[in-house]
Amino acid sequence: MSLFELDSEEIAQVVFTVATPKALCAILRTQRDVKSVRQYLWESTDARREIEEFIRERLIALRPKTYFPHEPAFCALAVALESLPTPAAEVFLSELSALQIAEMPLSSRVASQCLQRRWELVTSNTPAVFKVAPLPQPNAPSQPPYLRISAGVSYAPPILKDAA
Amino acid sequence: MARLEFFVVSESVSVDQQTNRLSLFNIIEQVASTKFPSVLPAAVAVSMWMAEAGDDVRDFQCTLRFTLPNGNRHEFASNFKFRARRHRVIQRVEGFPLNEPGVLRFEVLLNGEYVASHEVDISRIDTKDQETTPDKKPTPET
Repeated sequence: MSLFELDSEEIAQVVFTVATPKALCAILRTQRDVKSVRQYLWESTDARREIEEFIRERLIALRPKTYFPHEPAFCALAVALESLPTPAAEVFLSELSALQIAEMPLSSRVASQCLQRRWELVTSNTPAVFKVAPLPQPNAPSQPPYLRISAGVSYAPPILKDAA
Repeated sequence: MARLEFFVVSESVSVDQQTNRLSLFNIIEQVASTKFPSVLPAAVAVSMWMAEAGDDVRDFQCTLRFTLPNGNRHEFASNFKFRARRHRVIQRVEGFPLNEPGVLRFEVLLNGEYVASHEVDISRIDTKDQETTPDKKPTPET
């Protein structure tokens, strides 16, 4: 298993037939190769190096005024990296989304979509509520104690200021 | 094994529904009461965990343990799995029984192992302060 799975014919066909980046991202997310590359990178001990090597090897083929032949693989890589918890993924998506060249018309827009989704996915929450003691009832017969909660060691209550 | 980014206890928190941004309100460092026993109505412990390689297939248990000034301990566990790079565990605890002044110590454990703590000083307010508090606003000096 390696990132070479992203060079598959199946992925290329999808990229060449789907016009909008949003639809393309949605379809690429369901591709078996993209899923397996994402899983592979998640488990890899040196994902950063593998991503950088994959990009560098393909960028050699970038020629002015010629369609970049590895654009389908770059689109698929962007989708594979969108939820990957590594800074290299963030760098790749940011740089690709900022790229505006005619040789790669689609991948920057795909990267923008992936980056947006990444910000939504990047942090998940587990909320929980626990109760220790019953809270005092508002109509309790005895007066509840006055409670002062403060933050900061330099906290100076108004009482002290008046006394001074 | 997941790595702790931060652990803090505040009065309340807010998670923006649109951006998923977290805001903490009034980080608790000291609690003062006029009399004991008293009750701290609520506190929210937030721990932020960063995934490391292999964490996506693991189950985690984040336990909030707090020790009251009288030595009583309570533990509350929340289970989670990483669905993203970062994971926040937001544990709201209501009704802390404060029986005496001292230190209220919060600890966070991951899969049973201690990771970090946050201490809150519990103190008594001298009621004489309350009696001498002026009701009227101070007049501006001329």
